[in-house]
Amino acid sequence: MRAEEVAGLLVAAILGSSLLIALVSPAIGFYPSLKVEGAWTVAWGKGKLLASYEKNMTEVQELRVRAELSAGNLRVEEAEESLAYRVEVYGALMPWSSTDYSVVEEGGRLEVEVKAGSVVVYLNPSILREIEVKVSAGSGTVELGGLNRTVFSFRVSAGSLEGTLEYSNATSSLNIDVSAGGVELRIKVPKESKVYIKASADAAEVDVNVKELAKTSVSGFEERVIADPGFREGLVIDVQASAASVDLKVDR
Amino acid sequence: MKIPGALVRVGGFITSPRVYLSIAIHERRGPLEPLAYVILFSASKWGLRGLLVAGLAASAIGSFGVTPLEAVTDWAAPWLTSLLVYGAMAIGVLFELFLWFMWSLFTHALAKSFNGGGEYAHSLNAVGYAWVTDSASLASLLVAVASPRLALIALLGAFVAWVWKGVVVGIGMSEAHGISLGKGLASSFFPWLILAVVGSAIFFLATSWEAWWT
Repeated sequence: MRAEEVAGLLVAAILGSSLLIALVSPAIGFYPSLKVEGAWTVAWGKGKLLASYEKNMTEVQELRVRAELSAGNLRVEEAEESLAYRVEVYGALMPWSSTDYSVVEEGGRLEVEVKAGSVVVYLNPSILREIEVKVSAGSGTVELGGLNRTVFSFRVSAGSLEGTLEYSNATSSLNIDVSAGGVELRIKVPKESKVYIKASADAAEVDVNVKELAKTSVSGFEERVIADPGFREGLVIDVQASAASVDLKVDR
Repeated sequence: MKIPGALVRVGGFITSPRVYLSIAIHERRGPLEPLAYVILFSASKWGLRGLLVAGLAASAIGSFGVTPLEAVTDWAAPWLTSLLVYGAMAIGVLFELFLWFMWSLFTHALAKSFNGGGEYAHSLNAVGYAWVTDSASLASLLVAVASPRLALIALLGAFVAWVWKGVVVGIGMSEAHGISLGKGLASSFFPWLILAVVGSAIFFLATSWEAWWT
């Protein structure tokens, strides 16, 4: 076979497959996908460590936390056993953005506020009584285990939050308020724990999957209660989603 | 296996452009074949570009987890992607037909100024046949669509195809007008140079005007 024949066949193959892909792909819903894990981190970056704050368990008996992040990345994780908390604040990678932050702790009340940056908060779950996480225009991750009657409140607007909460004692409450954002949460409670979930959707979709109870979706403009029969005490979850999506899974 | 003559010719424009362009031009073929080249290559190229842009845009929105945008793209993705891809194909074909016409017009005028002896139809065909070099662009786009992490390779492919096309147009003009290869290449690349100079001048004037105005 001559060179021009080989080249001709090659060009025909390239042209034919290109034309076929371009014509058929939209019809079958295929398009190339390139999901970037931790896109907010990539966008805002995790620059150099600006500051870190920590206290030992001997200094703090009970911990109430409020962490607020606007534009950036927030992680909440378990601290080492000897630590009550540790906060690490990182600057943004983008040269034009400065990171404003404030970290204040007084009498076991820890307040963390970060604008345009990344923050990692390590908490000791055994003394954690209450935590409020507020994320706007950013992403948050919460990975905490050994929770004991800890009261949670998540507020997400124009951002995303995901994570896992593992309770050793699930007699507590968890509030999730999302507007223009997404939340994906896995909750593990002891086998004998009872669960009560109130889900409100306002132009939103809330998927609830509770092991041995229900798997349902609350969407559009709807409110629904999913609860263990005869619920009196246990984990009370209140979800309010507006123009948002929530995926909640409870394992026990 | 007998390969159809049209396919051999396409291959010939790639492996031995001087020989095959000389034959095609002096056989006084009509503009239908180059017209088909321009339409098919530009439709495929702009279709794949639209597909890549739609995919990357949807991925970027999804990666940031901004649900309303994600929900909109989820809901609208089928028709939005179709609109983008087929729209890109249609506009791309029209744009490249215009480009073919304008490029051949300018390159013909330049070839004439170099004492070229060919007709405008020769220039039109020589420029149109050169669209086979878009196979480089298509190959790189196929790689980018299959592996979006290599999306930048599509830009490299487009640049390689543009330079290659310019060289093939230069060879074609040299054959069509009986001028030297150097003059053929000059008549091929000169319009782009003029376009770059005029574009830069307009940009410079616009920014100066804006600075003066503000």
